[in-house]
Amino acid sequence: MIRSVETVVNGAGPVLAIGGLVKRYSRGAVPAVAGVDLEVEAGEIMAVVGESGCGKSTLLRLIAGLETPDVGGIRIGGRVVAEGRGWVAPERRGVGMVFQDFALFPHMTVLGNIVFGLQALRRSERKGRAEEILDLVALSGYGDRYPHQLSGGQQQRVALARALASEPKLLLLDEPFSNLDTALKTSLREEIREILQRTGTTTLLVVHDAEDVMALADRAAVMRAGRIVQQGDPDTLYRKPKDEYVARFLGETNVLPARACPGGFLTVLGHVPCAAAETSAGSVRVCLRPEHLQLVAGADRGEPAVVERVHAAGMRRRVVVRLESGSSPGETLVVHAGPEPPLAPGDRVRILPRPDCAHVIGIG
Amino acid sequence: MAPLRQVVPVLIGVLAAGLVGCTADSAEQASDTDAQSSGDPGVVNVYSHRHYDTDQELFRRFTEQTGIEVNVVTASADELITRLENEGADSPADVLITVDAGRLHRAKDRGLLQPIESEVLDGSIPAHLRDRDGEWFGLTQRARIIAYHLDRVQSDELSTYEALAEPQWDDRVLIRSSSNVYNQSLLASLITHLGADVAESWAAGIVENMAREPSGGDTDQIMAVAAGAGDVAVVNTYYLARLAASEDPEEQRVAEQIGAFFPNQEDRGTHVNVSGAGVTRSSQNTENAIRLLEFLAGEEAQRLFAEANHEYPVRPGVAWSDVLTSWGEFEADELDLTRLGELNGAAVQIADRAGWR
Amino acid sequence: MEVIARRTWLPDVRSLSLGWTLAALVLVALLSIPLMVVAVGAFRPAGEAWGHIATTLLPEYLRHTAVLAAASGALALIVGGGCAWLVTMCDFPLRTFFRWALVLPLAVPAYMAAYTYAGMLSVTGPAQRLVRQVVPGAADQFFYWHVMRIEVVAVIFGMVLYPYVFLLTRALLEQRSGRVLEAARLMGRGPWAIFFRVAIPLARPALAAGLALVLMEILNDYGAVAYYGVTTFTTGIFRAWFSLGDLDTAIRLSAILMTVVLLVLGLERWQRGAARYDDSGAAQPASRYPLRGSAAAGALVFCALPLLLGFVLPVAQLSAWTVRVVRTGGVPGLLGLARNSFLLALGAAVLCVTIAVVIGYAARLDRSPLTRSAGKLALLGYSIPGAVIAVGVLVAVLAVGRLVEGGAAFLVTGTAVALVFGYVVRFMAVGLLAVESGFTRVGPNLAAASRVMGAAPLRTLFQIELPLLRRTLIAAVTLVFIDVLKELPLTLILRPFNFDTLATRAFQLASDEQLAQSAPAALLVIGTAALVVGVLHSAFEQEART
Repeated sequence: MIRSVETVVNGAGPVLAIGGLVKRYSRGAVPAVAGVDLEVEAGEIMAVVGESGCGKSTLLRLIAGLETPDVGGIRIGGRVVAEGRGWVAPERRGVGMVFQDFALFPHMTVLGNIVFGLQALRRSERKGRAEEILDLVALSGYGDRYPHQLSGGQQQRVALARALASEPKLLLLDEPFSNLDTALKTSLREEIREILQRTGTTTLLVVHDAEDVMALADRAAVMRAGRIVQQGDPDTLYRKPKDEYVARFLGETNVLPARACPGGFLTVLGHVPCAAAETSAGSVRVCLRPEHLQLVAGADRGEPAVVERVHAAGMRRRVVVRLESGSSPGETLVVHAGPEPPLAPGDRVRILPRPDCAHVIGIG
Repeated sequence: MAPLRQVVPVLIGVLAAGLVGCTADSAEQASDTDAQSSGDPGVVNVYSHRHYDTDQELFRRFTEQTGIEVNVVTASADELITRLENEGADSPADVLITVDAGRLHRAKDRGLLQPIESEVLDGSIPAHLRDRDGEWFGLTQRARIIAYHLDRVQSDELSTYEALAEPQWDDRVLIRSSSNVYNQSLLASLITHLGADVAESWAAGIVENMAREPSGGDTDQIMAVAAGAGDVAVVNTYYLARLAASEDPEEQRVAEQIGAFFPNQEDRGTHVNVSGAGVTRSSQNTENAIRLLEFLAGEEAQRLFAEANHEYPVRPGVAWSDVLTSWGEFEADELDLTRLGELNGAAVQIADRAGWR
Repeated sequence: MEVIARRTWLPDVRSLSLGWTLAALVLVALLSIPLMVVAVGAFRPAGEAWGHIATTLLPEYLRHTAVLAAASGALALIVGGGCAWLVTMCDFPLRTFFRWALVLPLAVPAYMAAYTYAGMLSVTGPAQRLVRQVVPGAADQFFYWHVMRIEVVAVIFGMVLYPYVFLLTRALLEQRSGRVLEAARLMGRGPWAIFFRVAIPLARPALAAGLALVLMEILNDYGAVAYYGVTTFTTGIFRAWFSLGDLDTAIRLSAILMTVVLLVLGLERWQRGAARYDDSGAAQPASRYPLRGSAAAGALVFCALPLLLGFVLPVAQLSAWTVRVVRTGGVPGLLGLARNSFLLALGAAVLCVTIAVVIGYAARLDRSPLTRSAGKLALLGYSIPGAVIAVGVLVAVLAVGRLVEGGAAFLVTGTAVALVFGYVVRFMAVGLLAVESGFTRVGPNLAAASRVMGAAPLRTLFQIELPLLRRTLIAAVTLVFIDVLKELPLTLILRPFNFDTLATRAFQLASDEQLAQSAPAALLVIGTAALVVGVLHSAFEQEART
């Protein structure tokens, strides 16, 4: 056995620290993880997002110890678990993990699934601890059921309970909501956030849905092609994305070519007032979220456009419009509008950008 | 569902039980070997190609009379020879028994047997039925005869093996594969008497006259004659004798239609092969091995060979079975059987070249 | 950043579970020694028989082998695949019966079927007796039916070997393809179009794997072809060894055979190609076509015929002989033989599957090509005739035994160690393929979850993987059990003194041309194997229902 390299660093540092992590699956292949640096502070919920195949799941598996990195190091709770030739087996890393398909042991009861990970406790204490954690996820009384007798949401909560039972230093969630339906998802997200906060669990989750990030994460990192493009709190990522990829990943957006001018940008929507434009020069691309545009009445303001489609979603409507004039007729934009006035395809409207919302995401 | 923690010990237990069960029989024999020095009559270990019930009975009687345990592995002679060769000096075998002289010669040729001097054996077995160096001894004889259909063939049409290659027998001859040692010995005897060239053209003639591609055993050839697939078949005596002595009326009816013809009575005699035995070079129980051979060449054993398995005893003066007696005395080819062994390889190659499968 | 790719054909030492990998490599090395003996033998200067066989006989041997493989293989594909389709996709009388009964011919060794048919159709056999009794004027007639020929051998092989194709294809159609086939039906295609355009391509991996097993069995057979006088490649091996006394040439021919089988296996792997056949879909059978009238009758006959020819008729004949033998004096010592056979087969099967689990699990743990291909090496034993493996085993075991005073005699003649070792070498493929497919079906996530939850590899194996593999393991033990029960040449050569099994007893009597006397032992072999198949089946069905 290779002896694990254990460097104990006192208390305060990040719970998870990753430096220069590289992983290729085969010689000569494009690396799945191509140099990632990441830190997660104690009690923090960190989300990693990105398109499928961007390496985010590999990153998670590297942290869990299910893969060995080619280059770089990982420290969990101050202990080096992977660096150079040193490597700690997954069972000795003290992490908890919830798998995308939950990976509940089909031949064990709910209680059996939870107790399985409680080897560190005395035999007499295991059951009590398992019931306590089941209570936490609101599944008391389900201990004797088998996984296939539970609904998807219940399975999800068992998977979470199982991972939390041993009070891991770090909890890893791999696409935790991808197997659930939308209605369940929203309520479960809240529930899980509450549980994680109540237990103060440091969490790293991998998702591909911006809504999960917004609802759950304290901080997020956007990955693309094995690298982290941008990280920060979700609101900053949403409002100030570094590039179009990040912008689109965090939510629907309109991207317009623009030219910096005093007090704003010149775009197909005319002059978009923006104080931040001072720092830019020449041709750029700006991102304007749907809520950054408004439909206005009257013929004196905004660009004329024709309504193409209206998606009603309660109090908020998503309206797709086609610009009538301007430098590039035919361009469609997405605008969020309130419930009034009534709109139908073919209606003529005018689009007005809100001031100080445009954000530069690139040159040209 | 039972947790595997509980299942695995069970499996291991079963496995252990299985191995113990498999070895139980042989463990007794191993301890016998140890006991030999202390006056115990000990054991004799036999590798045998003979797998007749008669042999089991004979070994039982031998143990009864001498107290010597007989341990047996049966397999084909060639497999046993390979096993002997690989085991070398470690081989536990004391006696090798085969069903033809060719294999005994092969064993001798490879230094697996040792010369034995026994007045009992020399006195019981005619010289041409044992190795000239005393490395192996014939125990029973089988004649390779022509079985013919009594209605379709007159016995005066038959004369010699050689004649079966004549055109008049076109599409009428039944004979099994040349992989069979009895056919190899027959061919070897023809090589000795007539030379390789004649033997090869004879083989080609036989192939030409075959009523069908060789298949099945000697009994199948006899059945095929009865069924009309051919008119004559070359078979060993005891197969036909068994049918004649069968308790199954259908088999008796087959035998009733078949005549036994001993070829070459006018010249060298009918081809005869032996089933025989030798003492291995590695033998640890040489005395016991010789006693077993002497027992098998003795009156009692020879009579049982003859009665139960319709083989011709090698020991002069022992009564034949009723069926064999009814066929009468015959002139046997007294060719030195060692020659058959020496020519076995040549015979196989000739058969192959002649297209005799 | 300079990026180094670490992953090579060696396992990554950091994540290595050294104990497992070492254990697996040692086991594979041990199992490979007999195969190495064969492989090395191929490069020794050939004996004099080589030239003779190569020029005089090989062309015919190869032709016959090819004909036999093609005909029996096609038959097994048609019968096995067709029956699998009928019992999974159509509703007709006795469907549920045929669903399991069609597996039964697996219990009948090809050589026993061959002997039995020859006896059944001979002049003294029951078929002719019946004709003599029934047909007017035939009472005194003997008929010659030319039974012992290559066409009949091909049919016999097809009828006793098709269950390999049937089993695999049935499992695939039942477990994986329900939705796909239903989708095809909803697209408006008829049953024939679906059969040829969807079901056959879908079932291709199962058909191919089944065919590979059938072909290996055919290449390995000696008993049936030798008795029927059909010369095949295996005939050549034994002709070189037995008739010409040239073991080196026999080994060289075996090595060629081994290469051919390797090619067959490679071809099977290759044709699977990039397509994945993981068990990802829901395991739900498709709804069945109801068959009526002549269609139902046709299906009934199509399923009944192979069962009749491959199982019912041989068993009936053997039973008749057994009755006759028992009446005229009985069969002493059969119980002891049955005990020998049973314990030997069970012990070898459990050992074989246990080793397969160690090798398979090590490959699963370290995922390196080295360990994986080491496992593949252990598959080769299935391709070599048992008698030739026996020589390799003999050489290997004796070499080990000679290290200790008296060890050689102890291992080979004193105990069944050499014999059991031989079985494990010979049938490791059966265990290993089953275990591998089982691991694939379980998938990697449960094991990963277990590891993350703090369970080391050993605990993960015992508490997670093995319980989930239970069915696979039981099935693997059963298959090896049946194989060992039927095995002949290896047993003949490697057994200790005074040690007979049902199979060796049956064979010796049959080869002494006493077919009827051999029937009780043969019947016990087939009966035991059939019983095990039946019990296994009902156990699985019960589990599936709960």
